[in-house]
Amino acid sequence: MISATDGRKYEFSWDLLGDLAIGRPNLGNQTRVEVYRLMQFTFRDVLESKFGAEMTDEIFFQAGAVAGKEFYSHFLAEAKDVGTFVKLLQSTFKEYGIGIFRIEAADDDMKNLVVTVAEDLDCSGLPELEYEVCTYDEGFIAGIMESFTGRFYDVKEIDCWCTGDRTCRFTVDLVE
Amino acid sequence: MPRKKRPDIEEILKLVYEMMLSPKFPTIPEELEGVERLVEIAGYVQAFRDGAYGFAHGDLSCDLKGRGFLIGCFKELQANLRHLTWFAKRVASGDYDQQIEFMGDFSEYFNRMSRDFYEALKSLRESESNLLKITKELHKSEERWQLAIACTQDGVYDIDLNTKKAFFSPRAWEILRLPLVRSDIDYDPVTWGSFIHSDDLEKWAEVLNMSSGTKLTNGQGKHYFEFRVMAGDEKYRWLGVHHMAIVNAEDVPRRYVGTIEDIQEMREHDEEIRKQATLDQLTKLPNRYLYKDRLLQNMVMAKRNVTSLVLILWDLDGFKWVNDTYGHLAGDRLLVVVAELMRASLRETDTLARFGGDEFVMLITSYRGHEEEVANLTISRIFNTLCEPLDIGVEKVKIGASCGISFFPRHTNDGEILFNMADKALYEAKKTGKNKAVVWDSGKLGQQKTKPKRK
Ligand SMILES: [Zn+2]
Repeated sequence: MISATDGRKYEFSWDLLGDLAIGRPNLGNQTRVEVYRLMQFTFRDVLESKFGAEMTDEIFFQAGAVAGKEFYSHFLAEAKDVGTFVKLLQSTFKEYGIGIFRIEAADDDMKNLVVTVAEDLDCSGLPELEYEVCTYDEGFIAGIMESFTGRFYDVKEIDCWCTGDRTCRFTVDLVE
Repeated sequence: MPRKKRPDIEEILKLVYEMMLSPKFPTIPEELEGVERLVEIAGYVQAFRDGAYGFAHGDLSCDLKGRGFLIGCFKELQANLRHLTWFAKRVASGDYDQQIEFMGDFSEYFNRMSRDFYEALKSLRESESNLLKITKELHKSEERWQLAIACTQDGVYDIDLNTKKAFFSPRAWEILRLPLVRSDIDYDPVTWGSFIHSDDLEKWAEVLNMSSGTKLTNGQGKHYFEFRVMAGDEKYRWLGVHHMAIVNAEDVPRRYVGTIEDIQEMREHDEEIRKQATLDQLTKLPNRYLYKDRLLQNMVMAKRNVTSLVLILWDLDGFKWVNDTYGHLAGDRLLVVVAELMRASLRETDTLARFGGDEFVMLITSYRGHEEEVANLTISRIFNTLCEPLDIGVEKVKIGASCGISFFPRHTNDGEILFNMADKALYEAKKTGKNKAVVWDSGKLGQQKTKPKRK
């Protein structure tokens, strides 16, 4: 439902993604990664010029977190144990072309994890910069983890295509 | 501080060469000028070399510093190996449901392996749970069987004819009282048969020969037998056996199962009832009913063998006097003594019965010689015995007796008429004096109209 309470026009709801079967009878869910990145980096450009780089990162992280929670409730909620959760996460990331998700290390009670996303939708193939760019992904992973465990996580990208690595690596740490 | 100098190309190439190939990493001389890039490269290469050395020894933990394509690829390799390590850890903890992707042949083989583990474990768990269920059921049924055995008053047996092993419940052993070792007994029809009363061996043979039609369906094929079995004390005891032979596809018995009950007391009780119904309680002689039964049997035999019977009906003289003088107990005692004496002067095959009062009936059978001769012999034996004083406890008394005699089939073919004839003869004997014997004479006694009616 789209409503305009409190002066808001687009409080997120899954319905906003629309009905693609009706809306795009020929093109369906097909698009190009360039288009996705075009939108993300133009947004980044305008936001950064208006609010500065730090606030832009903050906005991207929070947007990613909202997306992560929505994504969890639509695709991952059926997983009750860690094994199923990881398996489902991996296959959904692949199916929706987000990237190749892998767990590199994790303790048994899921407090501290290192995960990698290769062929990342946001950054893979980008020119090398001096900094990691996948703040949206950080938020996305934090949102998913929070939904699954009911606890808050600090997610930090420590390696990125943009810093010369071939895969994006994130540390995922429980905020105690 | 030493003065800096510009390195020549030879020097730089030598350093790069050593960085890449030498087992020992070169030191970049501090006095060289303008080689920051070289120092940076040296840093990457050193990190790369350290990491590679760690990998070569199975250590994936190295912190790969630096950036760039080479280190980046190397870090991805490290990430993959660490991912596989994590994956192996999952498998080790029993999670076989993970998939490895984008790692070429390795993905395929690893996934196949973990999938096989998964399937094997699943079927193992299913088997385990089935086994558990079966074990539970088995335990329950075993328990039920044990309880049934413990509760029942009947003994239970189960004999496997293939292994020749016999199971008898404790109660069965109690009932059987056989002089056999109780546990782990072998089944042996000859030994078992030796404990069975010779009159019941035919039934035993029937049990052993049972096969056809004794399949275990709807309780059909269950048979009941009663045997006398010799117990340890060498007395025969009656056993009731519900017996079932379980047969194989060829109809050959492979197993005997059944229950044993102790029917000795029941039999004894039945016997007692039977005796009470057919014996005179005072003298234990056959009563009127048993006499009739014996008479009929003997008449049949006599007809078949073309022989004859002698019926002698006795009545004591002086019995009323003993009763009046010494009391009823003395009278009863007299009847018992007379019964014993009369019985002793007859053979096993003859019948002595008492109908009540002081009246005794003799039925003499299977003799050689003429009816009169037999009758005379018997009567004189009785007279001789009775002329002696008889001990009736309080005193010795002298009594006498009279009798009437009739012959079968000479006088009649009818049992009742035969008795009436002896009765009339007795009446005649009593009428004419004591200690007399009168044989039925149709010419003389048969015409009497004024005969007294007797029961
Ligand atoms: Zn990245």
